[in-house]
Amino acid sequence: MSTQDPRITQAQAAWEAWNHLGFTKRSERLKKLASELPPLRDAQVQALLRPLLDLSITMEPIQVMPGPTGESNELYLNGRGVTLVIGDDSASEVAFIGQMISALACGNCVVLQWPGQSEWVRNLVEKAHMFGLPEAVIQHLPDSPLEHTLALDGLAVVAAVCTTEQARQINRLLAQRDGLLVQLVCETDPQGCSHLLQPDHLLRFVTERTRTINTTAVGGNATLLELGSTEL
Amino acid sequence: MFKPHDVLDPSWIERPTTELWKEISPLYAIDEDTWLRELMPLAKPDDAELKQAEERATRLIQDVRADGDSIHMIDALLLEYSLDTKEGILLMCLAEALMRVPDAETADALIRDKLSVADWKKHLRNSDSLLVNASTWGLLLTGKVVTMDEKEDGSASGIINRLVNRMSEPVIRKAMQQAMKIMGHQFVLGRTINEAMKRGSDYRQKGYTYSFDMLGEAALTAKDAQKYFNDYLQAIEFTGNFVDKKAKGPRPSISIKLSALHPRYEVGQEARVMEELYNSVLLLIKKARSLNVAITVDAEEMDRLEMSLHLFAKLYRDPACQGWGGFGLVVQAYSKRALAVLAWLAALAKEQGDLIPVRLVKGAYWDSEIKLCQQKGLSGYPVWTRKEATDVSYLACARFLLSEQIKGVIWPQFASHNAHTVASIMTLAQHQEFEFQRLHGMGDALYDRVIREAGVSVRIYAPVGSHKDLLPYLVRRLLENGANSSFVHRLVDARCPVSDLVQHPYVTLNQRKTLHNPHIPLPRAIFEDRANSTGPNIEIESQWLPFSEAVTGFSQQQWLGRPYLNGQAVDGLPGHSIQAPHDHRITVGEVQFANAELVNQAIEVAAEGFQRWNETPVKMRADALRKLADLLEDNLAELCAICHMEAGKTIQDAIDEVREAVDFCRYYANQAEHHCARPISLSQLQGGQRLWQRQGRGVFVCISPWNFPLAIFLGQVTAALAAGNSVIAKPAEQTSLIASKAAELIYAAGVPGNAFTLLPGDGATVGAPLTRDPRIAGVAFTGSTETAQLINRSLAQRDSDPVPFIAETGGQNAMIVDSTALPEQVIKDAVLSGFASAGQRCSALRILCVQEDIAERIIELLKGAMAEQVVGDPRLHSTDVGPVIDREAQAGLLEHIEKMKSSAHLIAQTPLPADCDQGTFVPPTAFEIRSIDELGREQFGPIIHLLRYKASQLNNLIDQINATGYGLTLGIHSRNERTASQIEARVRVGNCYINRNQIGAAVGVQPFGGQGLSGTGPKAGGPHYLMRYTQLTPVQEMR
Repeated sequence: MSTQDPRITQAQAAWEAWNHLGFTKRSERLKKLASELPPLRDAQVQALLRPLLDLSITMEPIQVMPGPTGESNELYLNGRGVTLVIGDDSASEVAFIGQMISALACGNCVVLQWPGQSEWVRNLVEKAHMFGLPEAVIQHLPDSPLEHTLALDGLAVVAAVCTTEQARQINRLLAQRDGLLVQLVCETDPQGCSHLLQPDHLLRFVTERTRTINTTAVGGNATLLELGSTEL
Repeated sequence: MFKPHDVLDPSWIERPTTELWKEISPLYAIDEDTWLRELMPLAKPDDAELKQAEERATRLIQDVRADGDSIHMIDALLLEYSLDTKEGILLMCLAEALMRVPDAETADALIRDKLSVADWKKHLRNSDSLLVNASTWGLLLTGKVVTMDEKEDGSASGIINRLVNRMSEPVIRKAMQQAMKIMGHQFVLGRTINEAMKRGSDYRQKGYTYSFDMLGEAALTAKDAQKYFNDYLQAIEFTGNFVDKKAKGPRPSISIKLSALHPRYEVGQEARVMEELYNSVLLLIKKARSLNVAITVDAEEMDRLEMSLHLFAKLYRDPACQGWGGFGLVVQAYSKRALAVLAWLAALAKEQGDLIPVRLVKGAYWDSEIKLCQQKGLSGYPVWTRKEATDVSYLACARFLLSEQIKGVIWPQFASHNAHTVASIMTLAQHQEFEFQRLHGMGDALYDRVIREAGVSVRIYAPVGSHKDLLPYLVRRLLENGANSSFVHRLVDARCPVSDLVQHPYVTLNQRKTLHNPHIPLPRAIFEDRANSTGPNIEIESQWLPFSEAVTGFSQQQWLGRPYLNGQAVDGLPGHSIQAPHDHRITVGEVQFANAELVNQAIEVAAEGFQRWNETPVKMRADALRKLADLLEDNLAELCAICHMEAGKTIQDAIDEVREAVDFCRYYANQAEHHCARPISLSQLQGGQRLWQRQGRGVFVCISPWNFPLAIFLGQVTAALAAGNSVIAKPAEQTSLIASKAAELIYAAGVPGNAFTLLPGDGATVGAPLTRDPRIAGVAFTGSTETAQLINRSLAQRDSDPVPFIAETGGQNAMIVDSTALPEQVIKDAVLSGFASAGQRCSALRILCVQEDIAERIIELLKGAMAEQVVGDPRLHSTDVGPVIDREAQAGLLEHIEKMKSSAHLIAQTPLPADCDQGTFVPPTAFEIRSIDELGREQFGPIIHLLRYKASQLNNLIDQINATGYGLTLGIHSRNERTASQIEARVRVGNCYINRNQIGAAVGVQPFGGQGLSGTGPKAGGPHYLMRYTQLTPVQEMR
């Protein structure tokens, strides 16, 4: 069976633009979506999404790292790529949406699959498109055997809402893949969403980038020269 | 330590030079306050001197200001080219690169970039701007950071519109290039020595004379060094044969840069310098002497001072020089060693009886000296941290140089554009056996008066060369002037009160709260929350010799590597002999590998140890790691010795290895306290808040590589320990000795025996059973992508929940170089990135992507620079490239080289010395390839693959790099800010380095780690790393 899926290819192509939007703009769009899209307006969903999206906004600022003079060092965050959001029988709508929004807010494109809840997922995706999310950024992945889904090329993250047993199974299947190590982010508390509410959760959907610039490559070090003439 | 006032005692310089030499090096990084307190009395003016110098300076300034013709050269530049305006600054930023860009497309893009940077204002506000450091210009040219005038519209686009509306792009390009040439004309006396001599005629008639400097930077290749040699020789011949009957001043001289005359003017290559460079300079001296043209050796960076003095003394003592008195050098007053150097020079001259001309300058590389020391974590700075301290030092040196016993020994040449300095010299001088020096284009009005009124000789230091080579010179001159607080500019600025310009630096310095500059922390104190790791400066005799002696003390040592369980070494296991990678005839020690039984015991012990360690207050855990950091520094010499002998690391690599390990300890100690000290309150879905405590996860397995056998080993281990986990560490089989030494230090630092276990061994016996055991709560791994896959599968097969797997794997790292880049800078960074540590760094450069328009020049330089690389014994200071780790690695790399020889174009290969056949060496090699697809898997060794690309296909190149799937490091060399930014944004890598090398990430400064096939994250040495080793537990569920 082919491990290629056109939806994932489309999502990969759309990723760069979605990722470059930045956390704040994405979160604003997702907040708007959450306020308008019926399944997301549910009070419990809102109770989950509010802190998630607020937290994601805090991930926007570039962190200036300390270091020797004459060099600029910055740390910032990017999405990882395409995230498969997947649910099993134990999953709840709120946790599934939580995983989806977490992935999107962090700059990932998502493909959604929840066997047995296909209609609900399709409906969710259609509405998201209607409310302005780009089609390739959020897509429905029709039901297929878990083994097949988890073998699809181009996945960077799998965000699951499932039992611990299912999590182990998913982990095993992902480990069979070649290429990059796909990150598995599980919520095994579909009612309480305790993992989703932890501050580390969103970090699993991002990759860190460091940018170092030799600011003296052209001339000298203005800041330092200024300090050399300090009158204190 | 000698007392500065001693130099005024005539008998002081009668002492043997060997004795006075010993006084120089210990002052390299001496405590600034201590030494200034000693030095200041020598600069302290008595009342009469103070009054006289002030009056004289005041008169000079008033005269200069009263002269309508005094605005000259640099001031003219400010006015003519409006460098204190927005347009002027933008134009200046272009100047550094524009002249060397060969293709119109990139030149136009550079112009667009500089004239339309969207967030230009932000850069100005922040001073340290991206790439162009625009505010440097403002600072240098106006004496303060230029703030953009917001009256017009405050935006960069406003400036662009004004310019662009006037001219279309090609016209702008031509205008820019013309502007650069005009500017060059202001600062360069002539493009050739002939032209320079003609242009200098008027000044010679006024009584000035010249010291000609041939423009150019340090040579990287033998060919370039030869070119500079020819230039100097020609300049000497022309100068010596030129007859100017109208000239009133002394004969012109020549200034030479030693770094331009040898491709490896470095302390590590001192043996070559003392032979090859010695011979070159000797030829120049012979020619110069025969034509009566004096030679002055220009100053270089502080690290090279001692070598420069060695070479100077050898040349000075040569029969070719004896009896001449025309061979001199430059001494920089910003150096803490300046006075001691002068005393030694005086003794040298006294010993031989020949005059030594000495140009006393304030110093030109101040900011880069500070930066280098901070990067190296040195014990102190070799330069003063206040401008006025440099001025004080200058006057202290001047008092010595003008003292009676120096007459006929040293010919002082005082170089300064500061009217007060000039006035002070004239006040101190009781005779006229000295001269002043100034730069071409600067200080005309001031020195016209000095010549007229004081009758003292004035020599103009005048650059000669093409406009293309001007800008590095100009930048340095302006920086130097900046260190003078732009005195030249303030001199002609009528708004600046004269009284501000004539205060004696001794008085100024005394008014400061501290003698040192409180705004420039010592290298060890640059981080607010932890001490920077420290190391010796191996270029400095007083630091190198004791360090080297200490390391050598371990040269015969045999180390024993073995498992450590419950804090005790486990003996009785079969031993494996360890050979030095650079010479397999040398046995370094023996390692005993753990067996399956020990692995099982280790897991039990670690599981038992977890709870207690996890419950240990985080401060105690953190303090143990801080103690470990101190112990590592205390054991630096032995650890470096093991790095040499077991891992084949060169000296600086070994020091950096230990420093990184130290930084990890301190960084993660702080991180643990930050994250784990107190519970955090989190919202609950059902409403309300709940307290959670961050703590360890259980038993963590740390599997580390051989290429950073201490730093990565301890990086993983200390993060896991700090978080509260118990740790089982499996070091690489090849580097178990240093891991064993580290284990001893871990226990000595206070980590309980059952919280840390060391299991040396192979992957099958140790790694595999560990990673398939369900009791393991997490794994940190650094190594190959393939092994990471195996571990991941092993973990997943367990009958337990998924656990964190933190993997840092390989890279196929590229450097992208466009045609705005400075080729010499590119080559230095590419050679270091590709060949340092024999290319055995995850971050090492593998693919050098060069815009085709400059590819030929880059290839030429690369060939030349590779010919100068030294492969060999890693214990030697002269060695650039040591061995690869073992025969397997060597065979794989040599196989790749052979394969590439048939499929790609061999650019160059550094020859291996004969004695390399006893070790596992791989010659640094560079190939030209046509496509990244030719590469295949990562080659973990000293091999660079060069790829040309068209400027128009930059995006395709980025796609190809991304298509490799790896994403660890990327280097970018470009002066086009927009290009650099676009590349950085599109290439999917963890660490991007712009206009520098791409190796040597510092802990807490450049968090390190990749994406895709290069690793999972989080980044080691970054703010998110430690959290991955923890879990959040509801407080009431905690015991």
